[in-house]
Amino acid sequence: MSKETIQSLAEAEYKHGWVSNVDADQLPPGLSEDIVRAISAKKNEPEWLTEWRLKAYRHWLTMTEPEWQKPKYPKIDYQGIIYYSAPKKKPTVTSLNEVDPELLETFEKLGISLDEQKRLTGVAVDAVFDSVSVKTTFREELSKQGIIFCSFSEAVTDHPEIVRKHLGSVVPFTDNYFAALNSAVFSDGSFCYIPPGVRCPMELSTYFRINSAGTGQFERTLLIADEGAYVSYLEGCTAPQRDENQLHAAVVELVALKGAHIKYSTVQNWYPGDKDGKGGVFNFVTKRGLAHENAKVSWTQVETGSAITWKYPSCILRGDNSVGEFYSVAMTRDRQMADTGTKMIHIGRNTRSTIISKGISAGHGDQTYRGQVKILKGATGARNFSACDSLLLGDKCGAHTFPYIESQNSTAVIEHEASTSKISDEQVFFLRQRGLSEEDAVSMIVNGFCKDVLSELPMEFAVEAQKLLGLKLEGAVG
Amino acid sequence: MTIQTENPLQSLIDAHTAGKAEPAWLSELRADAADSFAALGVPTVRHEEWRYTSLKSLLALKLAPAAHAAVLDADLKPYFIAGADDIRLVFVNGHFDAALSKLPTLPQGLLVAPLSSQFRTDDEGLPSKLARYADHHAQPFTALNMALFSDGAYIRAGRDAQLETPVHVLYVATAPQATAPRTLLLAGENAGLTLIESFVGLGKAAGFCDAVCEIVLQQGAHVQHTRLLRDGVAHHIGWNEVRQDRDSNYTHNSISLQAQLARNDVNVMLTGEGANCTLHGLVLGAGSAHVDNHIIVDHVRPRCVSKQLYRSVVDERARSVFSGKVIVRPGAAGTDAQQQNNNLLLSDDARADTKPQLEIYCDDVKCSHGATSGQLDAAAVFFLRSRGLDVQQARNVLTYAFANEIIEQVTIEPVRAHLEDVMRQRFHGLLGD
Repeated sequence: MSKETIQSLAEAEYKHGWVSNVDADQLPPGLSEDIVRAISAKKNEPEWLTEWRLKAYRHWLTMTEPEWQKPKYPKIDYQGIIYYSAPKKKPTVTSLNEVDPELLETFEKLGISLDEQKRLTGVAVDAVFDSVSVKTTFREELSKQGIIFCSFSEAVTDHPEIVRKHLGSVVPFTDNYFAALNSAVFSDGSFCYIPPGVRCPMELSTYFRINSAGTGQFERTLLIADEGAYVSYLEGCTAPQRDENQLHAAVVELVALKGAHIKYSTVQNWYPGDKDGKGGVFNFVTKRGLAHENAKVSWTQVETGSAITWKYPSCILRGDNSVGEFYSVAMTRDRQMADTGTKMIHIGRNTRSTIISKGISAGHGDQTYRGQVKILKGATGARNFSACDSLLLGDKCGAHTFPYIESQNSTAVIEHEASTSKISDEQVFFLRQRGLSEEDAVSMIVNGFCKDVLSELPMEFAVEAQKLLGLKLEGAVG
Repeated sequence: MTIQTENPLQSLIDAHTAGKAEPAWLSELRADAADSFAALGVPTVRHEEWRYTSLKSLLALKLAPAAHAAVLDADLKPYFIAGADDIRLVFVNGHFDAALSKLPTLPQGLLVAPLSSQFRTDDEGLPSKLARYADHHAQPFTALNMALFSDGAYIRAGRDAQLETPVHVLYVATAPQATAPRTLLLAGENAGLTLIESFVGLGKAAGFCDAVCEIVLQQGAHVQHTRLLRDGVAHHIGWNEVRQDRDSNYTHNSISLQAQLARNDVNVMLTGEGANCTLHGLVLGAGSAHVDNHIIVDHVRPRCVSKQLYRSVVDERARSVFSGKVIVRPGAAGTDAQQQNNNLLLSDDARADTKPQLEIYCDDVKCSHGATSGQLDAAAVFFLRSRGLDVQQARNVLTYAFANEIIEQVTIEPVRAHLEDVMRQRFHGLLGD
């Protein structure tokens, strides 16, 4: 591959950078017990939740910021962050016509027109715009089946018993530094409950955006699939261009009860900073699923944005015969860094897990796969397969693989393999000789490299993800 | 690094350094190392490089500083390697034992001697070589070794010097003492050397051995290094520091046959183009053994080849740890690095943790690693049973076959034969003898 190709690959502009001026109702920057109380009060939360937040906040104060990760970042000033910002005109709408036209336009730019999606694809979108859910579609249709799909705050008001039972059961606030912070100050998020035996008739979807300058986004998602239920959940993100680093510390909790199946897919394309590494989003997320007996939790992610991506969507395979899956494509370019992977904790008997991770690094991009497979003593007959492949484009990027494999059961079978390579000149030559341009050739090879993961995405998303990868590789014609 | 509030090992240093008549360069080195050990402290499991290995049992030991003891030739008999014992250095509790050693006259350009004999006489500059490779400012146990060590093997081959006969160095401990043996091997341009290090504990010596081995290969040199942890090794921490210049070739075989708590570090820096390094390891763990193999291969220059193959068999409550890291520095194009770790768990109380790691900063590389962990194949056991073997025999045959793949890699014929014997005894009566 030529130098220019790599150069242009690495330099294609971020396409979703703009700021929309929606009036925001903000709390002053800074973090204290008062702020936590104020957030809670603004959201009319019950006493128990306020207390839970405060407990999390007090615990957070006792913790120190981790520093074992590979990507290093300048110290975050937690007192400089605005912890609550909500669009002032909170619309209560039943149809798209009533939504702030500027908002609609924003979504239009993102290519996720609610209107179109509603009509053509049947995807229900819970659009999260700077922390407050402004619109929920298809809710009525879902509620006929007993499915609850709403914003987190609504769930707290309408279904406190379910929220209270499961909140923090998978990711307790003591879990890690950023989970504790999130638990204290989370503004909103999505909530979903699928009743026993129900197969959710459509892909549930939510789009996150970070908008107001200096607003840290602290989403909280709780998804519960009751016995024998099935749900496929999509999460996609783009963020406007900013110079200041923005912290995003979300928590996602999945509970798959007996025989349930949760499929959680993410496409992430937040602002990665400019080509010198200025600005960009810090994406520090805690995602974890708990699988009970015969349940299945499946994570699929395509990570192309953010200055730093630092997340390990994990599965706790507590029930016998439960299954965990992790499929990931991570792409870093310019000065982007990613430290991502998964944890598969095998507790129950005959638990199975699969990890497929593909990393693509270009420019000065640096990425790390860090994964843990832990087979506990009682996990008789556990099975794991992991494959982590890295593709390097250019001689300034880095790719690292740090698997942790811990086996305490002799009947467990664990396999791990990893490889690192570059796109060979022969491959590119072959495709060019067949009439493809160099850019198309590279794009095709990268898409082929990621195929195992992309094919796991739901149809609608697979298209978007492929486009996104293509977009990221754009400018490759030398 | 986490510093222990109480560090019982510290007192050993104080006892050791008192009243030594040594050359100034050595005393300075010792003092420096002692300072850095005090500063670094003993790592705990909260330290990433020690997360699977707790040193609590080591710190609980009541250790005395190493002292002389008489050992009979007969006691060591099982540890001599027939056919590879013509050059032999025996150190008992850290002190050179001339009676047990064999030091024939060597051709020009070759030197095999205890380090202590060269402190004052060596004109080739031992002061500029000893402790210059293994960094005692970063590694607490390398620092402790430097502060505590009294003697060790010194092997040197000048340009083009070839020593066909293997050099066998036996480090023997007889009592619950803290010993700190140190090996220094310098292979000049195109020189060839074979080194065997055996660590043996006699009787019920629940001691602590803190070993350091520095090996330097100059352009085109060949070194084969075999490291055997034999019986009675209670607590062993060994650091092997290897530097390889252009087109040199280094082979390392690490065989841990029986150890209560062992940690083997191999740190290879490929500082010359086209260097080649091959590392093999075998762990046989039973009882409450804990063996931790820790490897770093650092590809600094282009076109180097490295290969790691480590296997462990853990039975009863034994635990094995493998942590292998390959670093490919920017500009180290044409690197070919392979890493493989296979673990066989024979009991439900056994445990295997593995951490094969790649850290790559260059695109023109071929790097791969693989790790597996599992039990014996039920179909294979069944097949052998259908041929008339009982369960235990069948399991032993398969385990032997799994482990023997590492033994087969040992290219020094007498050592391999010796190890095969030891293995047969371990899997007694199962192979028709």
